[in-house]
Amino acid sequence: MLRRYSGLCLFGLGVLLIVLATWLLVSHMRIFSLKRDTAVMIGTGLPERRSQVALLAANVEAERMFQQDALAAWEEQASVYVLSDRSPVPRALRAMQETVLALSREAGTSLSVGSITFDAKTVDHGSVKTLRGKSTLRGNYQAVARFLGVLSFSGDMMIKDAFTPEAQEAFLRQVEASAPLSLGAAESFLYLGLLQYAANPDQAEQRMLQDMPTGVLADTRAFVLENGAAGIRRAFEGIASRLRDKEVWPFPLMRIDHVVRSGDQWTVEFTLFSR
Amino acid sequence: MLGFYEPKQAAVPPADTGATPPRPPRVLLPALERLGLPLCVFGAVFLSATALLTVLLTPDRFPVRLGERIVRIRDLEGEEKALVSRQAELTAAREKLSSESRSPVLHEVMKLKKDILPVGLALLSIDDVRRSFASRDADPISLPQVEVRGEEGKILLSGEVRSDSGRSIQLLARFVDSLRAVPLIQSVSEPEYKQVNAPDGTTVSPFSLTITLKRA
Repeated sequence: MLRRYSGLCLFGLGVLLIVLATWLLVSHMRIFSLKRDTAVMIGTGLPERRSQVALLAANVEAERMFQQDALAAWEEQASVYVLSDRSPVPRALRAMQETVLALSREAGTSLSVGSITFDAKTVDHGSVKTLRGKSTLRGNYQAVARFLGVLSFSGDMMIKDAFTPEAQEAFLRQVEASAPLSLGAAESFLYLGLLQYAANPDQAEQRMLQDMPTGVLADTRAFVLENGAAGIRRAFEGIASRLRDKEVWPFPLMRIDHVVRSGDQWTVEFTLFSR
Repeated sequence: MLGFYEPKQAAVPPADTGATPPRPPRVLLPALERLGLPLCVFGAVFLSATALLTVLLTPDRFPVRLGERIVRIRDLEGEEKALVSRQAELTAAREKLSSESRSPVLHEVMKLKKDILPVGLALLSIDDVRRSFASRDADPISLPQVEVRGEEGKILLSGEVRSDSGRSIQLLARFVDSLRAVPLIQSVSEPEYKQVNAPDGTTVSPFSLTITLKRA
């Protein structure tokens, strides 16, 4: 009797062991399959991640180098001219008047300033203060648009300031992918002074493009122009050297609030920022 | 079902003795009893072999082909992990650099600049579009009324399109389309397309447009 039951128990145990082994085998195969899929997924995304890390490393290195060298100088300029702790009015008046003069003398446009007035008091917003102003101008559409185009770059000091952060990333990624050896030149280009570029844009672009393969030159240049450089060229065409000589750049940070045209008379309301 | 295992003599009809026929001997249970030990041994060997296989043949050890590369999954995962960790390190370093107290003013300027619309550049782009319709003999589009509402990010334009070939409406439609292609512009309202005959024989299409600028 005992022998009979032990035989049956062994049979049951045998079945159980076989089921267990089959389950183990199936789950192992499933893990295999999952791992393989994961590997393919990782493998597909790995080159892009590698490129992102290389780009980021180059960026961080360039920013670190730049901070050591030039950022202190830009910071000083920004604290004195762009977001001053003193009244921005004298600098703004000088900047606007010199721009109008440069446009009418160098670029041959007909533009003149009628008046510039400011509110009596600044408004304190905590970390920044604002002062509203109003200016009347006389000129045709093209001349006033040029003037306001220059003011659009107020507060900008480097080429990179005219690019959105996304455009900067995309530009460096494009260079890294197509001409990795020129990544340093591309970084230097972005940190070039805005007016320095505006005074001689072709030379600055040539310096950046010189070591790139011929096949990517046109695309890289087109990207740079479309994402900010064309605006600098357009606004400062013919007047950059004069503005540089007169030492009116960088402009104090300014926002255009309202513009009304009535014939050749224009009224421009704006806000100046300071600390 | 059980009959299948019954011995052949069970099929022979029992002799008519008048007594209850004997029950056929059971064969399934003895068979299971006999199978018990071999099955158990097989199960144990099978399970041990599978367990050994699971331990020895882990997927990490096997190579996969990725394009032209053959690489072990473990190495691949290791490389990805290292890259993710390096990326995190660099991102942290970059954030530290950009928020460092050495350039607080530049940082503030950058923050303020984000909310300032490039109104002047938009006006310049509109002028570029307008001038693209001009020829040596004619400048068909004029914009005598302009209003910029900076806070709303809107430019209100009023003007007229003039054509000496009777196509001022077509020109106006092309002008609006070209404005919509300007990267700084988010949208341009649809104007009323009308055409009036001027005393000098040309046709004139007056228009009013509301242009909404793109915000960063």
